[in-house]
Amino acid sequence: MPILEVKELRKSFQSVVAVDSISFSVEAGEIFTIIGPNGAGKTTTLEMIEGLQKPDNGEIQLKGMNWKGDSTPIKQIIGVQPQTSALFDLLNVYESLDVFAGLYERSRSIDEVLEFINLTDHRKKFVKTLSGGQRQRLAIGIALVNDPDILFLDEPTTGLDPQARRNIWDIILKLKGLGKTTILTTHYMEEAEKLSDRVCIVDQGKIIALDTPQNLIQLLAKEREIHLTFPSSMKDAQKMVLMVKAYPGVTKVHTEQNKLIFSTASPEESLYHLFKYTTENQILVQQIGIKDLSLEDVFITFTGKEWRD
Amino acid sequence: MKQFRKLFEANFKSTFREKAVWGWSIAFPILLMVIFLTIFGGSNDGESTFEAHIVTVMEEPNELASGIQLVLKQIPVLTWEKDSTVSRAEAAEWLKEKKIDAAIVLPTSLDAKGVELLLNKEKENSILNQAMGGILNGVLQEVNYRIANVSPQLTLQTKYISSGSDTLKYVDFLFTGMIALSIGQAGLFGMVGMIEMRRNGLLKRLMLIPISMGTFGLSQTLVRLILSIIQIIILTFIGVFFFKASLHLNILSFLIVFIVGTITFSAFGFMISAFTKSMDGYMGLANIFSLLMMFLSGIFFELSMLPSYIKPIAVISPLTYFANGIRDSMVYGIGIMNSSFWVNIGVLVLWGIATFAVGAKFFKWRA
Ligand SMILES: Nc1ncnc2c1ncn2[C@@H]1O[C@H](COP(=O)(O)OP(=O)(O)OP(=O)(O)O)[C@@H](O)[C@H]1O
Ligand SMILES: [Mg+2]
Repeated sequence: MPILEVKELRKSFQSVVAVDSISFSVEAGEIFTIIGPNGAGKTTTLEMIEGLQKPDNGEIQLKGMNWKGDSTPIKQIIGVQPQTSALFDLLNVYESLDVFAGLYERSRSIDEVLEFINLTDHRKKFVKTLSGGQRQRLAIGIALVNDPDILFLDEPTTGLDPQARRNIWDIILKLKGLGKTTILTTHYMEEAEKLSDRVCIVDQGKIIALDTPQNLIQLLAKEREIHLTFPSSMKDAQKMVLMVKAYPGVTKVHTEQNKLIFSTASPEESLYHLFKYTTENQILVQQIGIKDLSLEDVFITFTGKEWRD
Repeated sequence: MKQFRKLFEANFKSTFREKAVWGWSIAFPILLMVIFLTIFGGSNDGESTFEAHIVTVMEEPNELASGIQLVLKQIPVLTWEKDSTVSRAEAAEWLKEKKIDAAIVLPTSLDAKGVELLLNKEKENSILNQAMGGILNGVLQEVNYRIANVSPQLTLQTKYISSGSDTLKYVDFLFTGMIALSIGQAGLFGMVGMIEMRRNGLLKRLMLIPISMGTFGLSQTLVRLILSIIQIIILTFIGVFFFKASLHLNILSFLIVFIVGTITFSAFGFMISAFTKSMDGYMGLANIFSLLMMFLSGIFFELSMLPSYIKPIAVISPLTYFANGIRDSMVYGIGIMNSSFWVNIGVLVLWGIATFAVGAKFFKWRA
């Protein structure tokens, strides 16, 4: 049985439909990522699941409970890091965790949480003096104090530098190690690919794709884009256009200055022929690249829109 | 209970670690009280403090002049720069130098009807002018009676009587008014933290926690009460020890008025926070209410001195009743058996309930 089940969620604000018939379910122990551009409806979806907003329509079940009947027991088993890290600015790190821990039936030891979010050395630091990354880690720590079964992290890495982002990733992966279920939102495709068991891509309040990152990428056409750069002149590149076009599986071929660019459904075979030709004719190849497909391409393929972040 | 303790702890630390709270709720009221008591209450310690340095000018000695001089000498508030009379020129010179406050020119002959009062031009509009005029009139009347050899049938006896058992000194009036004002303002302005907590999402965050919002409200109220206790202790200390304010405390009625007042003004602040979105908006609205109440609630002067068209505001202002309640219980020792106590409490409770209800109706937890 899934630990979280969401059916036909819908929410609109005046004329704006923020969430439009979203359904998904999450299994215990999963890291489930909701990714989408600004205004896609990620926060609204999370807040409805967290009980902060009432859906216009739809059903939510958390561990078999719903908000109508069991709001207090649900609150005990979820942990939330909101998009805006809402903290008591005039408390220090330790006090912040201690205050929130005291509000729940069940709680973890503060020292343990401090260790976990790597803020032990800053325990006496006032919240208002923390850096963005430290603040974010504290917000995650507060989401953890009641030892929740399900965690909701709304854009935990937005606005952080690469190092701080990696620190947060570590925390999220450690949580998975503890068997926690995490529902995460992000703008970063790389992050979704790296962390998630399953990714849910939303745009304009609708799910446009939902699967494991690998499956999503494989959904795309098998074609890969390959480019070769030649040192000398553009002559070499141009000479090869017609030849490459004749290879099996190759679709588009064109040149850009001293670069030869083509798409092929069977990259190994095309490259084999190409290198055979260049070695025989002693043509130097300076650079070769095979473009990786990513979730970004999935987004572009499904929406026809550019992914801007 | 543990939840309440933790929320209280968070609110308490958040409030008392805020320097602005110390500035606006503690330092500012102290400063205001010291300034007002120094200017308006300091020299007034219950007795008449009017004093005038004078001389008399006798240009031509005569019996009438000597008689008036004799009567004047008996008036206690007049101190004499020189016991004997001086010349007009000398008196004018001294007036200019402000060596004396006034000079009285005695009649030049038995038939002369005039007595002149010379004052420094700068003091034209001062109390001195009126007081000296009054004194002189009294003296001349007395002398007239003596000349006519009749004893006056009616004399005016002015006594200032306050409504309480003791005579109310202005210091006491101002001092208790300032205490009520400080606590009232701390409540009016004190809920500005709600705006910040709503803006940064903390209020929303607290809704994710398995606590009732009532617990949160109660913990906030307790913090406000503690702040008020600190205010009242400091202000009372200053008033009593430095300005000789009287303290005749009725503990029971005082505690009730104090607690009800603190909660009522916090509820008022809560209502303001429900109607405003930004810090500036909150402060603006709180300032309007604060100023209205400050001058129209009998803090600095008696309500009877207000023009009649403004009085209705004073009659509904909660600060009027809070100030009355504080005054009654701190200076007059009026207990809970007195009807005025119940009027004060009743109006405050009404205000508290009304503002809280309106606030709760319009309050938003999220930005
Ligand atoms: N309280 C509200 N009132 C009116 N419109 C709202 C409200 N909350 C959200 N919206 C609208 O709903 C849509 C979805 O917003 P939401 O905050 O869920 O997006 P998001 O995916 O979290 O975006 P971001 O990546 O910027 O955080 C947006 O168009 C937003 O303007
Ligand atoms: Mg969002």
